[in-house]
Amino acid sequence: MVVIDYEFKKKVMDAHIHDALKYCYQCNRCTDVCPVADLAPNRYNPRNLILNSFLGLRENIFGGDDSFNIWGCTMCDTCDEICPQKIELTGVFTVLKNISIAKGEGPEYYTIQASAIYDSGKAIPPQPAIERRREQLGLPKVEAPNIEEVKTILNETKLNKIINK
Amino acid sequence: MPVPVAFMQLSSCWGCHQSLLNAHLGLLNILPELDIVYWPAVVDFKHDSLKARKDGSIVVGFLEGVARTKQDTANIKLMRKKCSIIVAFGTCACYGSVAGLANLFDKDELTRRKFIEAESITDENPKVPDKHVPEIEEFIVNVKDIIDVDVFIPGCPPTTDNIVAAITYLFTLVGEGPGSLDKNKCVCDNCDLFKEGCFLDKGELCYGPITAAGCELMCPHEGDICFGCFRPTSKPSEKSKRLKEILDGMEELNAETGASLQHFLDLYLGSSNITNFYFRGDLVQRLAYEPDSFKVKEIETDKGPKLILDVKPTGTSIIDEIVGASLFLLRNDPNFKFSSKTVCSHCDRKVADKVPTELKRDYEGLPSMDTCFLEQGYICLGPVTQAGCGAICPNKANAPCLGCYGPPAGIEDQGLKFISALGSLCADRDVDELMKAIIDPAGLFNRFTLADSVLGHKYHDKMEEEEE
Repeated sequence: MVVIDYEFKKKVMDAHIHDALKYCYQCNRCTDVCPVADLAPNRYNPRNLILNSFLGLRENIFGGDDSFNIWGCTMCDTCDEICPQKIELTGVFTVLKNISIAKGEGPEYYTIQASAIYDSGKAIPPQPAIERRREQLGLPKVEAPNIEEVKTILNETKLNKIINK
Repeated sequence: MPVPVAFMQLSSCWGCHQSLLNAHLGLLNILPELDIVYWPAVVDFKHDSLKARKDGSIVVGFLEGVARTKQDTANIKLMRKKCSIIVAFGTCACYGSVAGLANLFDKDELTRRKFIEAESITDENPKVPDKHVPEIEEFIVNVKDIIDVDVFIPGCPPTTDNIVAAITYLFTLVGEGPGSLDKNKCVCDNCDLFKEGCFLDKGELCYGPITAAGCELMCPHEGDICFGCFRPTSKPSEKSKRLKEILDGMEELNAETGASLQHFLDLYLGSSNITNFYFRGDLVQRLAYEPDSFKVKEIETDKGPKLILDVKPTGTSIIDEIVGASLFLLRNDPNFKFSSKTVCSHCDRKVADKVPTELKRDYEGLPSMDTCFLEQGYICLGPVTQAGCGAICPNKANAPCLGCYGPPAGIEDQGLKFISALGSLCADRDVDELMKAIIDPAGLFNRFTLADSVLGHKYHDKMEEEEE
C-alpha cells in the first residue's frame, strides 16, 4: 500500500510556492536537459523526483540503496531555466538533500568535507607541501582562520549533530 | 493490498497501451501495486469474468478508444457498473480523436466506402458483413456523454511519463497517511495556542480546527498558520465555527488570502499538483476546468444568508460548508491561478508576432527549425492545445502541433478557438485566398476533437432523405 507523508508534502510545497501554486506537467524537459540524467539515466531522474515529492511519496525517494537519486543533482539550475512552469526544481531538491542528510543517508564525502571545515575552518586543510611551494614562490603564509568562530557558527546551525562532533 | 484495475479496449489502435508498456522497467514500480482483473492486451481474462464481478468492486477502470460499435457502448456501460473510478485513457476516449472524424459522414457512406468501394477489396461481390460482428453505431458519441467519467488523460497517445504520473497519483487516492495520523482528533487538540489568543481569535485564517491530528511540525507553534496538510478530521474542534465566521465575513479576496486559501485546499484535499490529466474528484482542478459544474446553495449564517458551492468532500457538514465557502470565494477571485498552459509555452521556437506570411500545407517546402510554425505559414495548433507532451512535435520532429492533447482548461471547442485565432492573425488578408489554402478545415482544426465539437455529426441529412 502506498503511504503518503503529508508533512513531507507540505515541506516540499512550502519550498516551491512563492506567490502562487505551480503545477508540473510531467513534460520531461527537466530530464531532457539534465547533464547528470544524460550520463546516468538509471540512477538520477529529476522528473521522477519532482513527481514523488509533489505527491508526498517519501518512501520512493529516501531509504533506497543508492542516494544518488537525490545527490545526483549538481545544482547547475539548467532544469529551473527550461521548466515551462517555472518550477524551481533545485529549490525542491535542496529540501530533499537536507532531509537526506538529517536521516544520515547523504554521501560520506559531504560529511567528511563538513567535518574538515569544522576542524580546520577550511575546506582544504593546510598541508606542508602547499606551504613549501608558497615559500618557494615567495608568497606570504596563509593566515589561520579563527576556528572557534567557525565552530560557534556551525554549532548554532546544528551541523555538529549531523557530523557527530 | 494491490489495487484491482481493469483495462477495457474499445474501437482503437492500442497505441495508448503501447505507450504505457513503453515504461519498460519503470513498470516494475507500478505492477506490484496492481491487481489486473481484465486487460485483453496483456492477460487472458474473459469478458464473462468481468461480467461476473461485483458491481463497483474494481477500483480503477481504464477506457481506451471510441464507441464505434454497439458492443463498445455496452462495454462502456459495463465498466461504469463494475469500476468506482473511470479513466478516459487517451484522446479517443476523451474527445473522439481521429476516429471521431467519421461523424462527418453517415453510417451508410462509411460502411459502403470501407466494405464495398475500398481499392483493396478483391471479392467480386463485396458486401457489408452482418454476421459475427457487432453492429456499428450511427455516429460516435463521446465516452463522457455516455457515462460519467472521473479522470481524463488526453494524448494520442499520452506520453509514457504522463500515464505513469497519472497512475502514481491515482494510487495516492487509495493510499494511507503516515502512521501518526489520528482522525478522531484535530490539530487544535495538540495546539498550545488553543487557550490563549490563537490565530483565529485574532481574525486570521487557520485551518487547524478541521485538520486531523498527528503532525509533528505543528506550524502554529512556529508562528505560522496550519494549512491542513493532514487532511480532514472526523471530529472538528469548537473553533471551526470561528473559522467559518471569518470565511462568512469575507466578500472578496485579496491576493494574499486567495493564495492562502488555494494553498490550504491544495494540501487539504490532496490535489495532485500535476496537470497532464484532469481528475474531476479533485475540486481545485474541477474549479479551473468546469467552474459552472458546481451547484450553488444558500446557507444561513449569523450575518444573513450566504451562497456557497454545494460540495461534499467529507461527511461532516461544517467542513463541507467551509470547503464550499472557500471554493465559492476562489471561483469569483481574479487571482485564482490554475496553470492551463498550451503547447506554445513549451515550444523552443522564436516568436515575433505569430502572423503567418503565406499559408502552406505541411508537405510544401522544409520548415525552419528556429522560428514559429505559424509565422512560416504552417498551421500549428499549439496555441489551442493543452500542454503536457513537452511540445515534442515542434521541438524535436520539426512538425507542427496537430492538437492531440485537446483544448486547455476553459476552452470548449478547440477548432473554433483556432479559427477565431487565425481570423485575428490574418485580419488584413484576403478571405477567399485564405479559404483556398485551407482545404479541409474540420479535419485540420478538429482533427482530434470533432466528436466533441459544436459541429455535431452528419445524421440529420439522412433523416430528411427518408422523409422524401
